[in-house]
Amino acid sequence: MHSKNRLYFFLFGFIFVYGCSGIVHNRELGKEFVSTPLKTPYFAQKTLSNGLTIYYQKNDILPLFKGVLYFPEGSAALDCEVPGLSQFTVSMVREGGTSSRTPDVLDSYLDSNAIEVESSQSEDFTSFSVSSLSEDTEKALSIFSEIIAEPRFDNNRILLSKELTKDEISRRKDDADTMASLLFNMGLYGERSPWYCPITTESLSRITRKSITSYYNRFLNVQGAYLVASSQLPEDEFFMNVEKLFSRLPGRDRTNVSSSRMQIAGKDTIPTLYVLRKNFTQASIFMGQKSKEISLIDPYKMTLFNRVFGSGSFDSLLFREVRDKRGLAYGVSGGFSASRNRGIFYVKLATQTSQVIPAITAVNNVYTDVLSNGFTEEHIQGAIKSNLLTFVFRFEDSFMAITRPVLLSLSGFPATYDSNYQESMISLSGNNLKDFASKELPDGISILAIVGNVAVEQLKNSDIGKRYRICEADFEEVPRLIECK
Amino acid sequence: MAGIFYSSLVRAIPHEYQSIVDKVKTVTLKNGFTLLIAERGHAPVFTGQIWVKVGSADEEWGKSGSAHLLEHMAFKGTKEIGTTDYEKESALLKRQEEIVVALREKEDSALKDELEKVESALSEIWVSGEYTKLLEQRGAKGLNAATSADYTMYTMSLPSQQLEFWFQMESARLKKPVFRQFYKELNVVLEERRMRTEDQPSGKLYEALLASAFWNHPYQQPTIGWKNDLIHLTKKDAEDLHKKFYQPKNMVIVVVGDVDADKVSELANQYFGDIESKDSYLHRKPAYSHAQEGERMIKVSYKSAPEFLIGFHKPTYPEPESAHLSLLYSILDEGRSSPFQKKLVQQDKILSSVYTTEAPGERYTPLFIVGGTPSQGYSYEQCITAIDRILQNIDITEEMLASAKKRIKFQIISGLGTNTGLSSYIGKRQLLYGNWKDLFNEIEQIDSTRVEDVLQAAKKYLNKDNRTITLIDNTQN
Repeated sequence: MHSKNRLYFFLFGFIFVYGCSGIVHNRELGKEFVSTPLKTPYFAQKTLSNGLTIYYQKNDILPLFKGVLYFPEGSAALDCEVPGLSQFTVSMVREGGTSSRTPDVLDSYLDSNAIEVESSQSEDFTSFSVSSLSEDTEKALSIFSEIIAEPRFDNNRILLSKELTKDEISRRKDDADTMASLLFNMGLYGERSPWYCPITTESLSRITRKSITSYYNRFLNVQGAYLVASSQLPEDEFFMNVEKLFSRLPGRDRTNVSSSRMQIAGKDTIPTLYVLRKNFTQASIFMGQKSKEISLIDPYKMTLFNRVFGSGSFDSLLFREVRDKRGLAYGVSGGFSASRNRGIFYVKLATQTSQVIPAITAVNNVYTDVLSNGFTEEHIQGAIKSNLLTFVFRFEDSFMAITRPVLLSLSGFPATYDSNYQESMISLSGNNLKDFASKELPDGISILAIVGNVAVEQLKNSDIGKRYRICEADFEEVPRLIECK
Repeated sequence: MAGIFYSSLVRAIPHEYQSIVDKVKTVTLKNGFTLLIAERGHAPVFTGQIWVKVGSADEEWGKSGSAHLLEHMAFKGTKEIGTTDYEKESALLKRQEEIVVALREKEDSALKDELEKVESALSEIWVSGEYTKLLEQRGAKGLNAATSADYTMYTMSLPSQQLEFWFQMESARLKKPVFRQFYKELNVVLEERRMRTEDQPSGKLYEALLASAFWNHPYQQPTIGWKNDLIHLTKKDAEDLHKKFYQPKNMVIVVVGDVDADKVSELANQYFGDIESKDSYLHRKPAYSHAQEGERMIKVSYKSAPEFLIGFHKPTYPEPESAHLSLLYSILDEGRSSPFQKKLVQQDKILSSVYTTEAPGERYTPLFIVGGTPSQGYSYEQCITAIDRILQNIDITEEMLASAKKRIKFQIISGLGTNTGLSSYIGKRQLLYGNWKDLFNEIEQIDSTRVEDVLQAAKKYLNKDNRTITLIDNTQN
C-alpha cells in the first residue's frame, strides 16, 4: 500500500503585542489572534507486509542521507533478571559484525565510506540510526539492513565490549551525578526493578553470546516499528530499495508482549533521605517521588506545569528561587517525566557542600508553596504564551518534524497530542494547574538522594532530619544501603 | 602578511555548498558591525546570534573568568528591564561596589552590615529574570551563550514575527547593560567551576594542561577562571571588559532563517547603527611565540580512576599544516577502524578509551590533544609508549586519506543543516578570519592535502619535545 499523506495544520497563533510605547514602559498586554498556516513537511508513507512502516522525505537542501529505525520495545520490557542484557545486546548489533563481515571488515567499510551507524535504547523504545552523504545512500541502506537483519555477535567483540563496560562501571564512583542518580532510583524503585536495573560486573559475567542471540531473536520484530528517512533519492527508488532490503525482517503480532508497569508509591511510603558520603566539592542532589504513566496524566497540564516549575525555562520557579535569587546552584531543573509505563516527579541540582540544607529547603519551599498557592496568573499566562509561540519549532527541522509523531507514539503520548496542543494550552489557567499539583503531588517530596561530602549529623539535626528518615549508603559499582535511622 | 593575503582569496566553491553560499548576504554597517543574513528554511522561525571577539585570551592577568562572567551578566537586563527604579538602583549598585572593594581590603563589621542592607534594598528593586522572561514569552528557544578562549557568542531562535523584537532586545542589552546581581552570579559561576573542573578528573587535567603547555601566553588561563581570580573579581572588571571589547568592529551579527534580508538589514541599521565605535579593542594581548623545548609532565593529585591528556602545539588556520593535521586526527581516531581505536583499544587493550581533539582556540596556535583512560593493569608509561609507537610509525595510504576527507566533508555538511548550525559556522569564521567564506579555503586546503603533507606535519609536530602530558595521580589521597 502506498499512500501519500499531505498534512496541513492550520494553527492559530497568538501574537501578544506590547503597548504603544514599546517593550519597556508599558506592561499592559494586548492580544491579536492571527491564523498562521503551518505546513508539516511533505513525506510519503508506506507499510510493508511485515508491519514495518516507512516515512520518507525527499530532501534536496543538503546532500545527506539519514535514517532511523525505531522499535517499540525498550529496556523496560525485560524484567531485571540479567541487568544490562538488553542495552548490551543493542550495542552489540553494531559492534559485533554481520554474518558476511567480521567486525573489523564492517568497521573499515563504514569508516571508509563515511557511513555512521549507531544504536540506542531507552526504557520504552530502541533505535538504530544510519547517516551518510547522499552519494552513498544505497550503500548505507544496504549495510544498515545487513547489520539489523544479520548481526554476527562476534564473540571476541563481546569479550572486548565487556572489558570496556567493566571499565565504565568502575568509573561510576568518579562522578557524583551518576552515583546520585543510581541512589535516587534505588530509593524510588527498590532493587531489581525494570527502572532500576544497573549493569554490574556480576550481571555482565552472565551475559553470553547465547543469551544475546536469544534476546535479539525475540526482540527483532518489525511489527509496529518505524523507519524514518530522508535523502535525495526519488521516492519510488527509495521505497524500492527499502522493500528489497527490509521486507526480510520478521514481523509478528505484538499484543502478547508484556511490559512492566510501575507501582506508584503508596500512602505508607516513608520519606527517606539517602546519603552517600564522597569527597567532592559539590554535592549532587536528586529529589522526587513516583508519579503516573502518561496515559493517566493530563499531558498538557504536565507540559505547562514543567515549564513554570522547573524544566528548561529561565523563568521557572526553581531557576528563580534556587539560582537567580540565592545563587545556590549553576544547574537546577525538575518536573514530571512520564512515559508509557511509568512516571516520576523529580528535581535535580548540585551545590557546594555547605549549602545542601539551604538548597533542599529552598526546593521544598517552592514545592510547598505551589501546593498551597499555585502559581501566579501572570506566570501561567507567560508560560502559555511561551509554549504557544515555541510550538512552531516542531517544524523547524523537517526530519524531526516527520519523526515527531513516531516519538510521541513510542513514548505513550496520545496521537492527538500535537493537533490538540494549541487549543488545550490556551484553555489552561492557574486554577487548573493548582488542582493538577494537588492531585499529582499531594504529599511532598518523599525521596532524596545526596552524594557529597555532607555532614550526616548536621542533616539529622536539621528540619530535614525531622522530616526524613536518613539512610546512609556506600558505593562500589552500585549503591548499597548501610543503615537507616 | 601571508595569512592576511590567503584569507582574502576565496577559492571556487564546491558545488555541494553552493545552495548555502547563494543564500548568505554580507552587510557592513557604517559603524563597523558586520551583518550576515541567510534566508532559508520552511518553518517561520529564525536564529539570531551575536558574536564578540573577546574571550579568556583577552583577559588581564589576575582577572581570569571575567569574559565568561560578563557573558552571564548579559542576561541581567538593562536600565529599563530588570528593575523597578533604575535611578535608585544605580546609586545602590555604586555603593555596593564601594563596600565590596573596601571589604576585600579589610574586614569591617559596620561595612558588612551596611552591605547587607544595600543588598536587601536592591532585592526589592530587582525584577529577577525579566530579560529572559520577556524573550521566552515571545517564543525564544535555545536561549544561550558561550565563552571560549577566542570569543563570546549569544544565540537564540525565535518565531519569524519576532525579528524586530530580537533586534530591540539585543541592541538594548548592548547599549544599556546593567550588571546587576553580579556578586550573586559570581557564586553561580563558582558552582559551575566546581561542576566542570574541581569535581571532574578530565576538567582538572585540562586546566593543568593549558597552564603547563602555554607559558606566558593568552591560552594559559582557563575560560571559567582560576578560583582565586574569580573571588576577587569586581563588577568594574566586567564593565571595563565590556567597554573595551563590545565594539561594533569587534562584533558580528548573524540572522539565519525565514527572514527577508532587506528587512534584516533595515532593522540592523535602525537598532545597531547608532552605536559608536571606539578602537580600544585593538589593544589586545599579543601572542608570544613559545616554541616548546622539551617534554613537560604534570601529575594532578586527585582520587579517581586513571586518566591522562597529551597536548602537542600545532599551527592554526590559515597555515596549511593546520588542515594537514585535521586530516591526521581523522585518520588516527575517527571510526572504530582507526589506528588508535583498533590497536590501542580493540587489539592490544592498553586503553579502555582514547580520543583526539583540538583546544582551546583558533586565534593563536592551539594544542592537538590526545586523551585516554588506561585499561586495568596498564601504567601511564605503557599507554603513552603505545601512542608514541603509532605516531612515529604512521602508515597512511591514499585510501585512508580519501576516507578522512570524505568524513570531514560529511561532518561539515551535517553541521550546516540547521539554522543554528549554519549561523555558528559562518558567524565564527567571519569573526575570527574576517570572511565567513574562509570555510571554503579550509575545505580547499583539506582537499588538496597529500599523504606526504600529513606525514611531514605528524613528524614536525607530534614529537616528545613539543608535548605536555598531564595525568591523574591517585596515589596520594
